[in-house]
Amino acid sequence: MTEILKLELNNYRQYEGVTEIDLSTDGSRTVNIIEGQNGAGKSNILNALNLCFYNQEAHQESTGDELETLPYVSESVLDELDPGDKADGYIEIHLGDENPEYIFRREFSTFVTNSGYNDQTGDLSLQIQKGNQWEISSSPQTILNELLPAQVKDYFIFDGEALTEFFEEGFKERVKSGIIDVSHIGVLNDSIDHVKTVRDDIERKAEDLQGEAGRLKQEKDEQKEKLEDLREEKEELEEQKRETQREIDRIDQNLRGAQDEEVQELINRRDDLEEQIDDLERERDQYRQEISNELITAGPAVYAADALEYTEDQLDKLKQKGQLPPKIQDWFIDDLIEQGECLCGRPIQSESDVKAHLLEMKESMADVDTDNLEGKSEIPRIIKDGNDGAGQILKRRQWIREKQDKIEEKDRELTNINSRLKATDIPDDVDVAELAKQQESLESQKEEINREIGRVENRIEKQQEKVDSLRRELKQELKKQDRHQSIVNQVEFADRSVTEMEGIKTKILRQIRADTEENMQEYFNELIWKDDRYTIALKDDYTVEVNGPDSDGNRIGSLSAGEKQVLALSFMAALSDISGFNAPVLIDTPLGRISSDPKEDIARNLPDYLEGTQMTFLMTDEEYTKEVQSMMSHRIANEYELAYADGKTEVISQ
Amino acid sequence: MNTDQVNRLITDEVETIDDADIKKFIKDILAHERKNIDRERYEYKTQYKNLLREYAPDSEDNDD
Repeated sequence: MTEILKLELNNYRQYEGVTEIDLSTDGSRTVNIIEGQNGAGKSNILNALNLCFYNQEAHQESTGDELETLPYVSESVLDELDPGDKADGYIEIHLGDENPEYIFRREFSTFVTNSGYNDQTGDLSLQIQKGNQWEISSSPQTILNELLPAQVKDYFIFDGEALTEFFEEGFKERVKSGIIDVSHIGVLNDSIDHVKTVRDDIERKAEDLQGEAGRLKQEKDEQKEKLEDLREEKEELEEQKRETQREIDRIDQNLRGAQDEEVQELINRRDDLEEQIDDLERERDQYRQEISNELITAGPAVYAADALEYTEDQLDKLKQKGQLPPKIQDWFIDDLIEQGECLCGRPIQSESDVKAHLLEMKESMADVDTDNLEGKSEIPRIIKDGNDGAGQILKRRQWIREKQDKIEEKDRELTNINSRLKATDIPDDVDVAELAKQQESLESQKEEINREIGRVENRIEKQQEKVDSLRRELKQELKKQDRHQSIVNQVEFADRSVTEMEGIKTKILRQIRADTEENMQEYFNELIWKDDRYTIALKDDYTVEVNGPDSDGNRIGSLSAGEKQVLALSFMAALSDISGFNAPVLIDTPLGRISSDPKEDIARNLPDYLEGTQMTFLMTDEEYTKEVQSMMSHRIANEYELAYADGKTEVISQ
Repeated sequence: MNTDQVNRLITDEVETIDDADIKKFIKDILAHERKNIDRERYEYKTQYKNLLREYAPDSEDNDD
């Protein structure tokens, strides 16, 4: 297990002088606790890790009424200096599995100026243990990249309180990004894109093309340019949409500033309706998808139902006429002849008519194709499957109609609310009417942009087909010319590689979503303080649904802050599971938004969160109560308290 | 750099590819991309052209 064995801070913010924090674990004791009041320096532990590894800080300290960026070097050190002077410090992180294997270090300086301070950071340096010696690594970034790339660090080292907002508006994109980051789909995407780019470069190398090949190449290049133009157009529209959404959000914020209670109620009701409409539309689309799937499997049987029924009818008639007997095995007839007695009791004597009849039947059996007989018995099953499939389709169409009716009903209510907001006139308050009108106008604009994006996407798809078709024709034409054989071979090879990688991507995305869903559900039910079991679904569009035992439908919109934090923790755990990275986890304020009783229940389960992983929790005194401490004590390796006084923090081992 | 650091889900699927040359090509590509995972800009064209020359059948130089 790779863990942070030691964190060493020198003159970093309130940690004046050298501060060493031992975080090494011991057997089943894999949890470290660093407790401190707000402002004592907990979050700067998180910042120190990020600054050392990634040269950035995730959390800004708040001082007084505004967020202020404090200088890196301790202020108590800087107070002794004059303008023009500088002071230095460093952050060192010792990593390893029981024994140190890596020492990452980043130095920093703060320059004192007349108006304040200027910070500078140095490059990341690394020493690697080789036998009994430490060697300086020439590629610290590469090594760090292997251990914990920046792309996935946010799923291992993060601010627990910020997680409460993870499942707020826009969470689908965050969920999607998380899954793509840890699964290395991004690596696959880049591989596919880059191979295509190189393939196109090689194709362009086919020069001096005459005749048909020359014409095709020129046309392909022209169509490709049009395709690029369309993609740019789509990107511009996407940006316009984002800008419009930002404006809508800004107006929404202003509207929520209205003091009038009725306005507040209308806005809240509008939020609920929009969420309900989203859920209904998702369910409706899900049924549509199920109908499509059913059509693929049962469709042929449904369309051919008449022909199948006719065939079955004809086969039955043949059977009744004795022209399609049931399959009788040869050996059965041989047995009867040997026994000398038929089923009906008549004796079968040698050279008799009965025996002759049986032998004739045995001969005619040989002419009956076994497959045909077996095929006959399959027809009723196929007809039944087709009928069942048709039944499912009809059922779903009914459900779709019901969902659509509900959507329209809620849409009407939404329209009514918007009309009331537009007509609201409250003196000395926010201009609700004007804001509502602006918002409605922007929503219409956004819808129009969406429709335009849809049209452009359609054109992109057709244009891509055109380009692909020209590429295929050009390839065929080039094959006829020997001197371009090498280019054709490489282009074909690149194409086949791209096809393989795209297939892999589709398959594993499906697998990863399924694994993430399963893990999220497991972690959520382990961490949540309720006795009942929840079901979590992660849809194809990265929507997360939380279905509880006592309610129908997706509860994600009505989860408490604490429940959302647990859900986000579950998501982080699920991602770190599937990432394949064996990295330590550090969480700032893991229990921040959770009230007292649930806190203890979660604390009981939290050490088992990501079993086998080193976990360091930075907790306030309100989180790390005596009860929480007793729940976790059997798993704690190190416990520290941050004692803050006169601008300095001392780390005291408990 | 090898593909050990690429998510196992991907590498397991790559192992199922029948064509040995395509498999090797994709592995080399993935290793290169994985190495540059945190970088916005990095060189790849020369290397990929060389790989195509190495693995694609009957290939000649594809450079300028």
